[in-house]
Amino acid sequence: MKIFFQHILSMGIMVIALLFTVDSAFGQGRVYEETEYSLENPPLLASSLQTIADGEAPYLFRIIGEKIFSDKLNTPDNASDNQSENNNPGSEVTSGDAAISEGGNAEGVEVSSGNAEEITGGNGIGITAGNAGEGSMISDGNADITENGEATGGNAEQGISEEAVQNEQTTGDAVEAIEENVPDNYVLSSVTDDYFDDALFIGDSRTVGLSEYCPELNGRATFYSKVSLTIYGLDDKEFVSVPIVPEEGMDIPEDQLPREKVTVFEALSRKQFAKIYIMLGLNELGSGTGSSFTEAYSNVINQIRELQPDAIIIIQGIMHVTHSKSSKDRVFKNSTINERNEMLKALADGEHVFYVDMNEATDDANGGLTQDLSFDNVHLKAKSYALWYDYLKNHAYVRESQVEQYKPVAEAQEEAAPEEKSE
Amino acid sequence: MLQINPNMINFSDLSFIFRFLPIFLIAYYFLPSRLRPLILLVGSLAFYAVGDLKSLVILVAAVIVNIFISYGCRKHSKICLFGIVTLDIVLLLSFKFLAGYGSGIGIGLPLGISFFTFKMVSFQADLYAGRIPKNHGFICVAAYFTMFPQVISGPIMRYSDFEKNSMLSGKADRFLVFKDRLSLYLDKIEEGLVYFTLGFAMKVLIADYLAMMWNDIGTIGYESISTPLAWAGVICYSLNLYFDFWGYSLMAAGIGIMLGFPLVRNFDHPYLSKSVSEFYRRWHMTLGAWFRDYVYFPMGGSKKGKLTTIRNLTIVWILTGLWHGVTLNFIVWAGMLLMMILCEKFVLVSNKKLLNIVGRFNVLVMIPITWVIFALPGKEDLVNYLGRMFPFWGIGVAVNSADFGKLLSMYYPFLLAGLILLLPGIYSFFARHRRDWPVRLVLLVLFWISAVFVSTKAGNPFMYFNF
Repeated sequence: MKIFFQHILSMGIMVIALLFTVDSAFGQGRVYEETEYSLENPPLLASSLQTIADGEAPYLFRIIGEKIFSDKLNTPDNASDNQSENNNPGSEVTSGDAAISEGGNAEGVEVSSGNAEEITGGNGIGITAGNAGEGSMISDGNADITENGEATGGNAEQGISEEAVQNEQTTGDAVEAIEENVPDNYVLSSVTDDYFDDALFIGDSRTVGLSEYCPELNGRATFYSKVSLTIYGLDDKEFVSVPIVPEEGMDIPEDQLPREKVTVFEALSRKQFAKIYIMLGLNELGSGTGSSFTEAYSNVINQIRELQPDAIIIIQGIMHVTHSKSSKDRVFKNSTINERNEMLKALADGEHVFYVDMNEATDDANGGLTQDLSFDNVHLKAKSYALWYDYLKNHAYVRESQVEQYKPVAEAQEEAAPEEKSE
Repeated sequence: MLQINPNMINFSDLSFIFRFLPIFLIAYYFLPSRLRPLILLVGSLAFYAVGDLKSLVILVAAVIVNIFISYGCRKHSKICLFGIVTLDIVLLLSFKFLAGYGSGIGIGLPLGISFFTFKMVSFQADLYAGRIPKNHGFICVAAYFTMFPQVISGPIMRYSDFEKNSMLSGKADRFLVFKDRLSLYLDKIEEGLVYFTLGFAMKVLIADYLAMMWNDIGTIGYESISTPLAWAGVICYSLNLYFDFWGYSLMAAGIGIMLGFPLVRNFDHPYLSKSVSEFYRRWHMTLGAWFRDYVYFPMGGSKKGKLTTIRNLTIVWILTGLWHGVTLNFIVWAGMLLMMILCEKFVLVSNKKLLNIVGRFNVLVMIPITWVIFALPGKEDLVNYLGRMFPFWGIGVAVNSADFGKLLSMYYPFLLAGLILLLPGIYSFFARHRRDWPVRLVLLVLFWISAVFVSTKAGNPFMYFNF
């Protein structure tokens, strides 16, 4: 015992290391991912340490905590499930459920939302919208909902926010008004900067870079982008800063409202856009399969379509990594990226959902990101973002009736010329 | 085929701390004590093989040739000394040139070659000069050349320090009963862990995060950073290099102590220095001492007149530059330092007050700038970076002036921690009170915090990055 306390540092490290190892061994397949023990992997106790790093208690602590503090003896699996459900903010569950439900169910769904103000507001307008859906076209914001019958319930909340943010969505509605029964397809065209005024970009760190180093987009387009965002994170990562929904009857200008952080889906239910660009998929390369990824992507597209019935969605193929990265890395391979891009391409319907591949603008002869454009083999350097933006400007989907409106003045004659550059 | 993650050779990697080190210590202390040199040799070769299997051949060949010729050096044969030193230096420089300019051939620098060749040269020179009296035999010398705590990045320990290890020779514990022996082993391990933990925390909690910040700066592109960020980058890289290397050196020294070796000091608060020459007596001390003892002094040092001194200093600094790398930036880096040192030694020396002011300025401003030159081997990168630091030389491309605030808001705790640790009090407090149990308890907590931070990087193919 004396020896133990005289060597508290070594003994402490040893005892705690053993404890963590036992913890990891018992937690395997329960709270920790099951891993095959191998010298290639980090030592067993890494699972416990990673759990602590994520801000959670290790497995044994959780069990002990439950034995002492909770009356009902949950199995650890249930316990962790319950926990994760409780962590989900109510609003997300709402929007998810509502998206599936019919208009009539809106009330039932709304109850699950935690916010009292939202419930009352939501009900009132939700029902109105639902009724309107059967009937005539209304030329104000709610017209969006009527076009898409199944979305009524889901847009109950959107209804409120539309009232609150009516000023913002004038563009979209104006377009609606022009459009009659004339078939007006989207065509590929070159556009001016103001095309992006009502565009939204959703993406990971690469899109964050675009938002920071593309001055033409700065202040025009909206960005819901975050480092390490994945396609699975749009309904649970709360990072989009939006004005809060004011109480009914309050008339406060939007820029004076306090802001709150919400999920992408929540933000999409509050504000409408005309074009939604998505580039996600790099952080997902190491997990799941091409088809599980595409399925998740497809679900996201469907949900966005319901929340933003008027917007076109532009899927951007995942940007390559450099050839040197691709040939060395186990996970980040351009072959995998190409495979997944092919599957994403198939999600485009040519009507509301489109696919563009900006790799044409940044690839080298090896089919990887050009080495000079990148420092870390994954991201574009600040000065390289202009290539991406140019590509988007020259590969924009515009309604036939609006091609002239966005056509760059100088380039009216040489529409095809910019495309040659990208070869 | 047994697959072992090559990260195991990093002292801050969990598989080193919780696999290799404990297994090695148990073997070292609980197998018969006369086997210890052999265990150290075998363990070190295994360690090296995990890190760089291909270069193991080069290491082993160099060890065998050096030991063979050392018998000549022991007999004061000038030809032997000259031959083997030339061989070692040619070996080192040829790989440096291959790695620096022959990137197409795909030959990398063998792991730790800069360090084990320098140990070999010092060993031969000490033998020749009669500073190593006794013959320790093949295994001991081989273990000295290859010992795993030092083989990758030093410190460049002298053979005279290696000899002092009474655990290795078994002298210290041969006649003790088991309980006393256990207590003695634990004393050594405990003492070593104090230094190891301090280094571990520096590396993991400070240096690794500053490395991320430096990488973020590169990701933006040096031509596109704002001027404030360029200067923050200078501080960031200087602190990163300092805590990375000091932390590593402390971990290496700590492991050495666990095995019974004396503490090898490699850093002594260099940023408190009053001049550049003092800075380099307190920075990477074992390298500086090596150049002093085996290059500078043998050529006459500073005792043979001004011109000889200038010549000697110039040779030492050209060699120091080449040792770090053969690309142009290292020569520029060494040249700048040489200029500052010569200026201190011959121009400012007459005015003590001015020397103090200029010396401090050099240490706190000029040396951090020289580290940027050190960090950027590409000429274009260097020009771009300096252009952003002094923006009147040129304008940047796609500069976003918000980058400074963004990176600072992400990394300020690490910059701040690094700056605070520049003060001498904190490290010396831990070193002085290392035997008090409250201090050890604090270190225990620090160890596990560091381990938790490291674990987030474990198994991550990017090391630290998430896109």
